[in-house]
Amino acid sequence: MNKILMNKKVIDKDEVVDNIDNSIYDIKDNCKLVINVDNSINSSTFNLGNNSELIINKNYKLNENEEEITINLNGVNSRVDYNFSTLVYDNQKYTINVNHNNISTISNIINHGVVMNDSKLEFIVNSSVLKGNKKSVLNQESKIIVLSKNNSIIKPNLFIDEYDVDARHAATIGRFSSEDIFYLMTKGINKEEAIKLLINGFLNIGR
Amino acid sequence: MLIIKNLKVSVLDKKILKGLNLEINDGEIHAIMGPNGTGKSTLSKVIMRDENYSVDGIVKYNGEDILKMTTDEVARLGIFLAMQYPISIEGVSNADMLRTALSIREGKSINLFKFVNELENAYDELNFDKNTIHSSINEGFSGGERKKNEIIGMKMLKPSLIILDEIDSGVDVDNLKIISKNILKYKKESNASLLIITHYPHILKYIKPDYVHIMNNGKIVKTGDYNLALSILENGYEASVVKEDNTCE
Repeated sequence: MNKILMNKKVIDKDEVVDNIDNSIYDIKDNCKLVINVDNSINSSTFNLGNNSELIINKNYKLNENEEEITINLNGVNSRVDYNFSTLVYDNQKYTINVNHNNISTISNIINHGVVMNDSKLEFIVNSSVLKGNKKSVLNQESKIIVLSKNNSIIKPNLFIDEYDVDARHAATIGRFSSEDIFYLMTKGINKEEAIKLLINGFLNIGR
Repeated sequence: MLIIKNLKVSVLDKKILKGLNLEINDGEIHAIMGPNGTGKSTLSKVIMRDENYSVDGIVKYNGEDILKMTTDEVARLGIFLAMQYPISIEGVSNADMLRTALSIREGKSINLFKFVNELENAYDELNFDKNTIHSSINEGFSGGERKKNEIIGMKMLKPSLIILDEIDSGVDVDNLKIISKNILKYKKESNASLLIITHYPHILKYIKPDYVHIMNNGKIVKTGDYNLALSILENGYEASVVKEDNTCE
């Protein structure tokens, strides 16, 4: 990607935005950026300074889409919370790169997707810690529910070259349980509406 | 009126119910007691049309053939099952579930203000934390709290036949009293019938049954009144049943 063409934006005070373009965002020391979007943010890079914080809440219901986001935790104690949910009818691919470039950095990456048909949904999460960046905390949780034939993929990658970190990753692809559907149906809810409730509930988790 | 005739139920090749007969008239309270593994919970799930069972026989409610219906249709006939182990569902709230259930039954969206009022009242009457109205169903609840939550569902959905599957298990004495009081109050208002499934006669002290049935090996083997429950408490199941049927399987 030709980064020279990308805009560079500096965040030097706390900000909440509901719309972003392809850019490099520099979040300065002690600043916090909150992004709430329901439109694709295509490809963006975020550089975080000391004690800075990035919160991304994305709820998608899009056509075919591909996104790659890079988050560089450059400052001490910098932190990212990424909550993503997507309702999928077309092929979609999401790559999230999180680089822990300093000590005591925290990343919490949550991806939830419901695939309504035979489409392919991909979650590729690459979290990396270079040697020396101690006391970092990494959490990845990616879950996909498929309602039809499964073609989806999750790659929950952890690239860690440091012993003193707390890292965990979870990845599941599955279906709604028949017990959940039965329970809702015993209250008089038909199967279609029961599944709708479960889809909405699943996509709301983490919000 | 619920009519069950010669009900035979199996899972895979295992026979669980082996020709069960039962009639519950409107407003009656029936208790089914029996040792573990005799098919008591199976009966409740078969009435609710759990698809995991193969079923043969007759089950009719107010003339409608339940065995031809789906679970939600049975529920909308007015049958409510308070489950033995109510599950938790992440992301779906009690309010979402009950509002959806009532809207489907009414065939239109319901009055939200009235709904929330009624729901809050139900929480109050069960001495239950109202902050959980909008949190995930049963998530983080104890066994006893889950049972209370089922009774909240009962009060909102206003059934005409209530099946209580081991409602007393996992519930302390104080909460069992609250649960029983709410069920009795609702029964008085609605003339609903009750089917109480239980190991122990404890709950029957609070909700006195008109009939007590002892179930063993997939059948009802003895029927009596409340005194039969007391006899079970004193003498156990074995001694309380004069075995009429000793045929080998």
